[in-house]
Amino acid sequence: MSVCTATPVEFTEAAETCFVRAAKASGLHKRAFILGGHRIEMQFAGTKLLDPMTRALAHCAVPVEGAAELRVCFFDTESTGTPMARPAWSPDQYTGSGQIANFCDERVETSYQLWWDVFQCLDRERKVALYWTPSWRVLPWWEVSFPLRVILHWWLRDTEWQPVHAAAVGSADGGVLIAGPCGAGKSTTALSCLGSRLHYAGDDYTLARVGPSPHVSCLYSTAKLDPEGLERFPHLAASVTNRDRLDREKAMLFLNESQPAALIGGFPVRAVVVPEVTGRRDTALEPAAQSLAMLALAPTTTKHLPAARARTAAKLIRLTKSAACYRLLAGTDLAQIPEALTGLVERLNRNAIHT
Amino acid sequence: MTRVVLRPNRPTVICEVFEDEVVAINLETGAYFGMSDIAREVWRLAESEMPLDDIIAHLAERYSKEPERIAADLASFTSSLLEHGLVVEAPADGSAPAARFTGPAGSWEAPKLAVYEDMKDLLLLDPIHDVDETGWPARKQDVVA
Repeated sequence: MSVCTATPVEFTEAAETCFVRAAKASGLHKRAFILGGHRIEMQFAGTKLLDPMTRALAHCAVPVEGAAELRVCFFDTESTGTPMARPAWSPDQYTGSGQIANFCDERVETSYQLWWDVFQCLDRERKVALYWTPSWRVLPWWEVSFPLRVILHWWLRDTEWQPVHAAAVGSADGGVLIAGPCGAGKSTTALSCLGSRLHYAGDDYTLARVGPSPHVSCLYSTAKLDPEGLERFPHLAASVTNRDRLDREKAMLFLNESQPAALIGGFPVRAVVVPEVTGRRDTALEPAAQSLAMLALAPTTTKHLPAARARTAAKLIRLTKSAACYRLLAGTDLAQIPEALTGLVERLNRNAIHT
Repeated sequence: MTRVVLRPNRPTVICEVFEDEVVAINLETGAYFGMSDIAREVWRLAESEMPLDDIIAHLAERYSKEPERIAADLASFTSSLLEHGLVVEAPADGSAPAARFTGPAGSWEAPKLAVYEDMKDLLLLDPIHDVDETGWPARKQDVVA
């Protein structure tokens, strides 16, 4: 099979031309969002990807007006009848992390997720990104829970911002990141704080600003729970949006729709908390080394996000070195988790204000 | 005999010294490594370009152990460092002043390398080479969740 020859820049331009054709065929729809202080415009050809790709961001929506810092174009071939440009690389350039080997450079990033048939690219110079899938029908459920995750990771590469694999709870004065691999208890910990004095800024991916005064912004309003997790929070069952698919998907909630008052836009990061499910009744917090925070945050974040691994790791080192670290020995009496975290956050906030 | 140093394999490897642990990352494999206690001391000595036989002598004195015992324990640790691409062997040129530990020493335990190979599943993934007539990967029948 022949491979068309094009540079990464030429390919992104060809891909955008396809998007323009798709939008002519199916209609152009625009949405704008402020994410971590950055104005992003999302453009859709047709409507099939519009709701899945914007619902988790709805709490950050702003009117579509003025210049955006980044424009992201979405289309699928099936609903628009518009084919994508032919790949300008060979099949052996696909990698497990999604990155298309030797088809990216300082200006252009490219990835193709083999498991779920999604191509994404970013042209830093033209400030445009593109998201394409052959069919909106094959979009996996988890993509809906963290739209733009890869594109934001690329685009924010040279800034102090970084999407991080962590939950976050806190108040306007400050709060904590909750870090650990999938299944560590991030969602359970964050959702146990609903209704407490700590507000919710995410249970899976959040947007962190590293530096001497780290900050976290709420990126997604979603919460995801496996069946055991859902049993722990029966009062949330009515808010689950995919009840008919729980045999193959995690239960998904959009808290901006069901509990908007629980959400917070962001806060200073006082500490990284690493949960450990103990099976005991009571919950306790104990100080831990900052390296624990690094080892809880970094391997999964760099696993999920293609490219710029060194820069990502360097940012996460800065983040973990400027925040305290605690181990949360999470017990089965869930009411004790927000009590313990509220006490910690309020103490750290008082200390921060007095220093 | 040529004296050797174990040099961090930069730029493939980046590492950060935390208060009680060194975290190293092999950027090629995506694997993360933790070194605490004596492993942290060995890493820091190696990073300061102290030749391996001097590290053995220093630790033998510091922990009041036979150099042969220290050498045997270090052999397994350093081969792990080499196997994971965290260090490379190089001839010692004696240009860098080597650090020495002078604070209180605990009891000797063989240094260990904690490995966090979360990336392994991705890196070992066999890429899918089937493409359809559009040149894009052939669609799978079932979406893997």
